[in-house]
Amino acid sequence: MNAPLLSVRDLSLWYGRAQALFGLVFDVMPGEVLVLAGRNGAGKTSTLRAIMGLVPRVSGEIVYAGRPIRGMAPHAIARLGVGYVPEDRRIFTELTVAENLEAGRKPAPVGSPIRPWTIERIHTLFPKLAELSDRPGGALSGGEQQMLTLARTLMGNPQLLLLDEPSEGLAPLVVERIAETVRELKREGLTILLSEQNARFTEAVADRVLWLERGVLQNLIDNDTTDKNEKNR
Amino acid sequence: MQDAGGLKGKLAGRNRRPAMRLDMLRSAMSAFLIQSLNGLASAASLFLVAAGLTLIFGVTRIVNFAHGSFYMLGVYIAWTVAEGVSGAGGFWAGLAAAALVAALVGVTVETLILRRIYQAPELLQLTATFALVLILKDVALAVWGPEDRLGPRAPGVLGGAVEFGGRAFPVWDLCLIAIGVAMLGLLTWLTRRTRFGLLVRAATEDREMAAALGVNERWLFTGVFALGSALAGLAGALQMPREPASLALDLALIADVFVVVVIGGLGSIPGAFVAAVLVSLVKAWCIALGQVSVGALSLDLTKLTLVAEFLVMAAVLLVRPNGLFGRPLRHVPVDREALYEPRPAPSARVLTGLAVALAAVTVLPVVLDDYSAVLATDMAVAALFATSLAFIIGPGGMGSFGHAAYFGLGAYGAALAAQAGWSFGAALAAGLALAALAAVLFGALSVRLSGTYMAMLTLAFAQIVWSVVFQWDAVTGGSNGLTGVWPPEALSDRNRFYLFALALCAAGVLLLAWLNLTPFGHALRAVRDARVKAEAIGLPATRFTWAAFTVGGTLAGLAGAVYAFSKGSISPDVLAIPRSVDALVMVLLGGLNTLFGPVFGAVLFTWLADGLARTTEYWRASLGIVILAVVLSAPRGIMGTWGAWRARRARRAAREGDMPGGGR
Amino acid sequence: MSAAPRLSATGLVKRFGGVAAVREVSFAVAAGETVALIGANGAGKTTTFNLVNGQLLPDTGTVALDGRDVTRLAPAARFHAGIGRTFQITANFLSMRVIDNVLLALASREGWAWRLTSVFTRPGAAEEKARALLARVALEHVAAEPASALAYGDLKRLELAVALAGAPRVLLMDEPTAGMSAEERTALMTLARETARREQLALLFTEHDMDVVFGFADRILVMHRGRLIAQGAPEAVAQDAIVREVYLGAGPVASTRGTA
Repeated sequence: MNAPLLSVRDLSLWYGRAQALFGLVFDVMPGEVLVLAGRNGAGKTSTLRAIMGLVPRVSGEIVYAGRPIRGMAPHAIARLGVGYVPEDRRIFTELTVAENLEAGRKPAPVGSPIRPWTIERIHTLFPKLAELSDRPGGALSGGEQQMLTLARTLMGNPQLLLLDEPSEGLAPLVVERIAETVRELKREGLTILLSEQNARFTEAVADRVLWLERGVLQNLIDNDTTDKNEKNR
Repeated sequence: MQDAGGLKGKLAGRNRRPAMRLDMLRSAMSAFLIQSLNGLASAASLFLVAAGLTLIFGVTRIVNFAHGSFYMLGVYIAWTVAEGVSGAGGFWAGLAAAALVAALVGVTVETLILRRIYQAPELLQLTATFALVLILKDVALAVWGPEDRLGPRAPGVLGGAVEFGGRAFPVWDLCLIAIGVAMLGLLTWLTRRTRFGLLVRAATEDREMAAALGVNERWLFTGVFALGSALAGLAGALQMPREPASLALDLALIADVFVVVVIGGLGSIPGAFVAAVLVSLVKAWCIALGQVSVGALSLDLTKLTLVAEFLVMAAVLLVRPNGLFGRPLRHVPVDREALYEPRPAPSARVLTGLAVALAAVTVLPVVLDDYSAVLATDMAVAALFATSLAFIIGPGGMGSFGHAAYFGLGAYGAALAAQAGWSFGAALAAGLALAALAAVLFGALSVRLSGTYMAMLTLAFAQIVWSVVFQWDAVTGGSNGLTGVWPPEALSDRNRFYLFALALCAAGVLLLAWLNLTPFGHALRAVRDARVKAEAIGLPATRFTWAAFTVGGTLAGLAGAVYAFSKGSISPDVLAIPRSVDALVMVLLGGLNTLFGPVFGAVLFTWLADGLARTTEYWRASLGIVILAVVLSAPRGIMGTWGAWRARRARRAAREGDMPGGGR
Repeated sequence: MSAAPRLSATGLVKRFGGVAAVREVSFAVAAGETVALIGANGAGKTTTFNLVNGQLLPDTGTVALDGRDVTRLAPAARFHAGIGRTFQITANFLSMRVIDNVLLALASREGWAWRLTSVFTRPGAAEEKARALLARVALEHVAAEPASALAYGDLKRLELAVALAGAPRVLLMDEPTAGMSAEERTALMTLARETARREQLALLFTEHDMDVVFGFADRILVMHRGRLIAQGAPEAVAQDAIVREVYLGAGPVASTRGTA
């Protein structure tokens, strides 16, 4: 069995006096798509933000590629190869599409197995972005912004991708396309941890599903039980 | 501001012509041209400082009050180097040294202090940077002494003059214009064409996202701070041939720079350029046109120079609430824990405590000496002043940075009425009314704006009032102020006056505390918590905030009126920037979201300021250090921190109480 | 009974800069009717809501309530005219208790929000009413808790109670069930629809969950890039070729119980 790429142990988190996460324990294996499911307020976004180092009051252990990363600055975590795509996209609205991509560009960490991303490869994955290069980020539609925010993070050559509710607010039609993209990225060798409420989207992409409720991890459900211990696809 | 204004006044005198007769039209035209060029030269320095401030604000969201101090340091350092090293080399070395030292000071300040308060509320940040102003001013006082220091002219040809239509114009001023334009080009290139600039723009819009993409925030912030501070230092050094280094430069300039940055739109460099040119030209033209007569009406436009920029700013903000080139600022998430503030009817215990406290403060000074009665009067006045501001900031959810205007108008209203022979009561009422009128008027214009823009507009209004009072010798006594404002015979005894002041101020504080409990107070907080929602349930948001602003301003006026009678004389200082900051510091010291925190803060601050002023020449710096210590160690104020500590302890006790049941 | 529909919007247009967020949108909602407004984020749903409740003024077009033109009224005045709404991103008064949120809406409607002569949080008739409203959304047990301590789904329900406190004739609900469990959704939407029928109010809601949309709407409006591209009964909308092409799609991810 492989060592997990990300290992979370006893993760708890507080906002002021309110505790939002209660001792989460889970692993993300290299190359898998793990879905954190649950309702709004269940703690999905908090979990991803905690891994990314964006929440101040966190306890427990977060180990990425064998290195403890809890307490590290977000930029340092990003440079180790963790990419974060936020729920609300957070496009730089006053930068053009090309500038948004440039802002995300950074070299792959040493020893990364992922083929480095270039503008050309991004444009192959998202042909629409090539047409929109000089458009300000703020002028894109919701679906286009979702592609851009994903592409921007890919430009940083992450090995682990944290995707927060990628289907949120998109037309069912576009959701379909995003699901295809996630599968494509998995084929590229990326490891993906994504949060989702849309059960059908989850079904379409997940290798395994974790269910969060009020900050507590409920149980482990495998999307496809036959797939359980062999993740060498 | 005083010094800068005075200097420009002298320049104006030299260039002005008494009348505009036809045969002198040509001469008038060239005077106009010269003044315009003069304005553009001033615009260059203003732009450099403003560009630095706006860059820093864009990325860190901190409005750095101390930016004017970096400029002041720049002038002093350039002067020192130019004095020490003879010849042209000294002059140029001075420029470089000024930029370098300012950058170093900026980086030191950023890494040691500001880095810790990036997440704090903006008024707290403003106050912290004001503490730096106090400290840097005393540093300059210690190093260079209180006298003005006039530097050498620019070397060689640059120190000479050229002729325009028979008038001499300094070559150096032409250089400044060129440097201003060149710096605009350089900064535009830097922000638009380099990766550093791209990341600055990205972080300006969303610094957390930039960090998540791998951008090292700390380096970026420090880099931007170094650049911005260097620009301020350089701007100061470039001004050396034009004006002497003086300790008043910091605040004089920062008010101008705030105006420029706000007009241009916070975070916009082209905006800062356009605004700097606009403001400088308007001021220059006021001087050039001088006395203007329209029919029987005669208006001296030169008197407008101190106010002109604020008028421009008010006009711009009314049309474009985010400045000429600005964008709405991204909302900063708030600490939910700090939010909850239930306001139940006061319990018997609270009421008893209040009664005991009131009884104690009534008796205490009477049994002490004369001096303590005076100090206690100051404390009572300060308590009402601070509480009235806390009402605007806390339940009102607004940022006022010009609260001194209402305090000062209350004082001047009362003093003028007393001098006109009005009775004591009528004079107090006059002060109150004048402050209320100003609060209604300025409030109507400023409560529509959000966050930093509102803080800056209130500051602008306060500066307008200050300028009018400062210049209107015939009525306000100008810089000398008004004297002989005494209470009636019955209250001439210090202890008796104290009791009177205490009664009025306590009534004011209790009124504000009461308002917090009423439906009005809750509706006001509803508007603050969720403005759009409040409107959707039928609460007209702007009317509530306007009412709250008016209440706060009026009660500040009451405090001011009492103050005037307690001192017997007043000067424009009562409505200057430092007094507005005093009120903020008192509020932050005590704690904003506690009912009587501001009272506590006011008492502590008054005692501290009094003690420091009597023991050290460097009381400003000492005060600044105290402010910084509080801001850094107890950002919720002393009362707020104490309350949070007590709540934590109570929770821990409760948790240990149900341990057997087990937690999660 | 007047002949005019409870809520009618006619020819609404709203531009931001050069971009038209809403173009020529016209629709009506009858008293007692439950209507869903669907479309992708950015299609113009929230802008339409903002035009109806007065948060934004349309460039052209009118909004009428029982035939009375309310297009130029500010949001606060529209509340008093009878338009209530809940928000997509929950907006509550978090510095106060749960019950205070409802009390404020009552104070506004009953005209005592400006009162200076009494304490807000005293027991009385208003508090009784507020408790009754909280009971309707099953939040009575947390009436005295800080609103900031409520879970997400509870905040959504609190929003409904606050909106109902205004006794609205038109109720706009922006994604009322986002982030709730299936049971919570059904309970909330059942309550909303029953209230609409019983009190003859026009209920207009936006929603991304197609199960909720097709399960509860009497009629559906579909927006795409600022335009209303279809409206009608759920079955008709589900079969509409254009709607399938630009919004619903036909794949396994997009398919819904409602259309299956």
